[in-house]
Amino acid sequence: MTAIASNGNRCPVCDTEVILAADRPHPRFPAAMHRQYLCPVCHRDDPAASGLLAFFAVHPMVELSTSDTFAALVREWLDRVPDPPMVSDEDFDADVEAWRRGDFDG
Amino acid sequence: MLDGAARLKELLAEAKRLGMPAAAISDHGNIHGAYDFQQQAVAAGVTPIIGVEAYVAPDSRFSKNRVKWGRPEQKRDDVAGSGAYTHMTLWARNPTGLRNMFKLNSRASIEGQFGKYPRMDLDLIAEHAEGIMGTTGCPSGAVQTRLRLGQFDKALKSAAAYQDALGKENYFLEIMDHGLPIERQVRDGLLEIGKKLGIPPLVTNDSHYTHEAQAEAHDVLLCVQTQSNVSDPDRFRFDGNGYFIKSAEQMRAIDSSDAWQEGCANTLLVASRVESYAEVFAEKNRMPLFPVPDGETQMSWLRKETLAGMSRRFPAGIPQEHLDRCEYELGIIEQMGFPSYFLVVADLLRFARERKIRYAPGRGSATGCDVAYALEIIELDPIHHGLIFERFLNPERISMPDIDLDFDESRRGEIIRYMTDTYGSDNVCQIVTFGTIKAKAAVKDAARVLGYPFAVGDKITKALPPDVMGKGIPLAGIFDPSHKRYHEAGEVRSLYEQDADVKKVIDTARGIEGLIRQTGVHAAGTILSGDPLQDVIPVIRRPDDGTIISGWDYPACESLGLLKMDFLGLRNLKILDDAVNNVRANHDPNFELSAHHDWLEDAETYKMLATGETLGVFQLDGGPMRALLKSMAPTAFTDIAAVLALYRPGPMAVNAHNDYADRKNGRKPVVPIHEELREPLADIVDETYGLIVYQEQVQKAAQRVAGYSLGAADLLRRAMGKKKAEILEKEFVNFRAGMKANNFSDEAIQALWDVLLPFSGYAFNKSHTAGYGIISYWTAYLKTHYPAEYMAALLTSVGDDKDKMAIYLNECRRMDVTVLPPDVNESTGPFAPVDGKIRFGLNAVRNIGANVVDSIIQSRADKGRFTSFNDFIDKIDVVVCNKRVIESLIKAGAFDSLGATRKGLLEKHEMVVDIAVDVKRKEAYGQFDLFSEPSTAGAPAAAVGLPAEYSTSEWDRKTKLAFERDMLGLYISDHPLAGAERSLKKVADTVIAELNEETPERQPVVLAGLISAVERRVTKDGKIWAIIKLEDPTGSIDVLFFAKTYELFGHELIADRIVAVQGRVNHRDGAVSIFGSDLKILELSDSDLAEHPPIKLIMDVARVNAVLVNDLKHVLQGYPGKSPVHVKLRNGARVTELQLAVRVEPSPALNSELKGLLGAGCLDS
Repeated sequence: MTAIASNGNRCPVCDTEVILAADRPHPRFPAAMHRQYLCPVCHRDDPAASGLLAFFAVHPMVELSTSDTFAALVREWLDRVPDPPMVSDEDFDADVEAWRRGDFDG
Repeated sequence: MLDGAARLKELLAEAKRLGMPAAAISDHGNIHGAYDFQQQAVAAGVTPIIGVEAYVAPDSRFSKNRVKWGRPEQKRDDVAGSGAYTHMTLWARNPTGLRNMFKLNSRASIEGQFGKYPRMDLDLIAEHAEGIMGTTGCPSGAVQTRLRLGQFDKALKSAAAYQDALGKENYFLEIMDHGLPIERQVRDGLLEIGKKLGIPPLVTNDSHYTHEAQAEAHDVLLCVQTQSNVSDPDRFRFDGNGYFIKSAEQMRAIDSSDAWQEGCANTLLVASRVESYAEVFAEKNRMPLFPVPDGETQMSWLRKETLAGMSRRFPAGIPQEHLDRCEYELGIIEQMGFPSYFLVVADLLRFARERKIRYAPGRGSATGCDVAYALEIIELDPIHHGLIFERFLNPERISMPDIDLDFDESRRGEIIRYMTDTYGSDNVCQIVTFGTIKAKAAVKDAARVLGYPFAVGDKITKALPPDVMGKGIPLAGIFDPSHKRYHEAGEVRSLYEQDADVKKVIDTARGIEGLIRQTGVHAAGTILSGDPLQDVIPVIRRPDDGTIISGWDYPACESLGLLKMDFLGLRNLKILDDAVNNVRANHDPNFELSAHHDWLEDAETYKMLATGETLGVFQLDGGPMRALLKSMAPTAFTDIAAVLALYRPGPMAVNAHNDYADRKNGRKPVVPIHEELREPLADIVDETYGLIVYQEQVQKAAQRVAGYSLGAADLLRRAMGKKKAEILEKEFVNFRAGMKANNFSDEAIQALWDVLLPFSGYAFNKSHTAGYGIISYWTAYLKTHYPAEYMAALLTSVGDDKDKMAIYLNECRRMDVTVLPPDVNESTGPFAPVDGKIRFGLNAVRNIGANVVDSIIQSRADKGRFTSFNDFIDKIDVVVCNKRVIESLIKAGAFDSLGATRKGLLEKHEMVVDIAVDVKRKEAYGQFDLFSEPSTAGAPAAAVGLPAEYSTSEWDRKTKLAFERDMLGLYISDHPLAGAERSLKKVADTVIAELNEETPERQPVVLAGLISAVERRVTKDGKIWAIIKLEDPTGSIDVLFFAKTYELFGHELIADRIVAVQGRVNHRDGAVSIFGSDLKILELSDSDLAEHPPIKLIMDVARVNAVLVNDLKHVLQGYPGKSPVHVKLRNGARVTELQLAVRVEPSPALNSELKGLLGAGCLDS
């Protein structure tokens, strides 16, 4: 896992500047990283993010003295963040069958 | 067009039902419908009266001025069409009159066109008055117009003039009453003129549709014509709904006056005067005669020309076989009366050769004609290739010869001009086509004119069954259970039943479906006539370019005996021409392609074909075809002809293509059709490994074993192809008797019949595949031996088609033919081969027009190479000095060789252009050159006002390539994936090139690459899905993201993104694609893409000390190279990244030493 400062990254959902971006191994593309954003708007009511949001409410930046706390909060957040969405096998197969039947022809 | 909603069959049936002895057609300003009207009226037992509601110029047809007869305040009553025309109804009384009708309408179009109105005038009508009847016309006629303007004397004069022109008995006073005030406004004056001049009244009624109930459909049609909506209060419309076929009683009941009643009776008088037009519509030989020398006939001259041609083909002496064959063919040509046809075609191709216009070496069945070979109409020796004459001209079945000619498409116009110049503009024309309103268009038009949003029409058309071979179901078929596609129309039927709006739209659409919307021009056909065309058919002149076009379509023209010749434009001939010129310029000034059989045996070419690397080879560049070539491994020209014949639905359905490949390569045995037939048919089927591939083989087999003549065998082949049981039974009796007479057993007879019968349906004409196969061979030959020259021509040929260009550029990469970016000093308009590489052509740069390209090249030629950007600006003409042009050239990289960066130039180009344009304009007015300061000898003049320096900074690679792609449509100088192979390989489990027909269906794969194109589609029920083109360094593939997957990843599907895709393999129609199930955007940094990627080390801060640093330094210095070394220092969650001064050569040994020193996890991937 690599946590990096927002660096001007914007939330892909609401386009607000994010607080934090974190890379972790992608659950389905093993050699690729999945970037997770901590957004002050989208994650305002997210219990998994509440610790980190509280941390940044108090600390404007991570310092050596707070790095351990910060690392623990990041881990807690990422552990609870859901994996990126994927299509179920049933839905995928149903679409394939529909395509074969010509249902996807415009 | 779009004014009459009546369908002929229905209209004539109604006339018949009402007991009318005759019916007249008088369309506005044309007689396009006359041929069909004649045929259908005669068939319906109604006398046809062919006429026109003519547009008549208010003064001369040659004058293009608008004319006003009245005062300004009388504008509404003045000359129609804002002063363009008056109306007049004319009918042909007899064959002479009909021919005059052709001339009147033709000349109105050729000489009198004004806006959209083809106009006659009084002089023209007088000149061609014989056999013509006419009337004073509708309220827009000259007489009524004069009367409305209060100009009685002029009205009288006008009527008298037309009466004189047409003859007293042929001129009528037209009165009508659809309930419009204007029709009665001047009735009294009109009748008074009739009395004064003795003009009998004639009652008419407009019939724009057959039945009263069709008024609404007609109204819709008017809306289609005027692009308006039915609810628009100001749109053009007819008042009332009385424009249908009224009965005699209905007509008489309109008005009880004597004049009206007399006028009704006179309609029968007009009908009784009309004679049969049959002789005009009779078929007659109208073949043009070739101008032969005095004392020669068409036939004697053809014979001499044939022998002379054969002598040229065989300078050492004409083989007896050719002499005999030519003698036989000439006999049949004479017997069938076609010698002039061959002379005309040969002369045309002589002209093409003289003008260096490339034409196809053979096409269609004519390739089997030895006389055509002698006359250089074809280039293949038909005897050598086993092609037969009777497939072309069958003495046992008289039909017009048909030699289709392919020319370099860019020069087809020269051929037509030559025809016109040689045989006269009166004898040559193009052929009209009539575009009808098809079901889908009718639905969309109906929805629009009824005021529904686009989505309503769209919903209905999407619910219609899909087109099959370009043909859709007619709307009537949706509701007709006997229609063969009825069962496919359930969706649209249920929409119709459940949705009142849909019902209204479809009902309205049915009223206009099938009506003619517009005229067009046949893509290839040209009519050539020995008789002046206006004596035979009407013609029209296309206002845009003056092209003369037949007024009737080809089947009508053919039925009159007019000769059609198809001049097709073939892009590949232009490619060949360009490629040959490239070879001449770069290699051999005398290079030329040949169809001689000795030339068709190049081993290297067949080796290339056998690899299937045939992208860009004529007819052989599709994926499945390439797979077949690999399997077949062609070694001779016969294989090319065969593969072209076999790669068709019929042979493929019975696996004949694979059988051929397997038999040729010994994977399957060659089995005779029957043991008794092994020897007799050996020389016929041996070249195709015992398979029947060609129609010619069917004919030859029937001749050989069943005693047929080749002509009779051609009839047998045709009968077999049509598969009519009763005819086949009859044929089999003859076939069996013939074979029996040659002592074959019943088993052998049945075996051969059983093979020939199905194959006759889809066996192909070898004459055609051999003729076109030559072009395939030539393109393959050029690609093999002159790859840069050929690929440059191929790239040039695709013009603006960036998809095709991308495919061929990838092929260049695969072939190791470098494509260089455009360059203002090096590029020409087209792609150009240079030292085995290809220079991108300026024509293909976005926003760069032909005039700009010509100007740059001319400036370069006149003033020398450009030495800098400022020098370029100084030397070019003002036409090039355009911000958009310069910006495009900068972004395309066309100034890269001049030393400045693209970013640096773009920052200042607007200011530069402003200064330059100002100076160049002043120069144009003879003022001095502000750019040039007095220069020292030899030094270039400094440019005053232009920047002395440009920024040297450049965009990052991604931006630079994105701009380049914008301008060129693709990446040339670099590729976003260049250098990314390592990063992609880490994520993907295979590469695109590894996926082929052998990859199992549904196999899961992970691919990584660039999204080069995204095509979003909508399902019938409104769900979005997409097909993306994914490129990796080895190739490209389609990935389909269906609706459910699209919901998750649709927003990520953006062109130029680098992504990883999971999915499953799909095979369809011989092509491989992927059903995408998952997607991940890959963020590749510049270091990921760098040519020498960095080594990345991870170290915990706690372990770092002087000893470790020293040891690390020692290890790294042991592997000197070009890759930088990055170190991530980890301190808890905090990571600090450092770049070391040392550069190394990555290797497994280095990795091993580093792991030994820093631990197994020290290398960051």
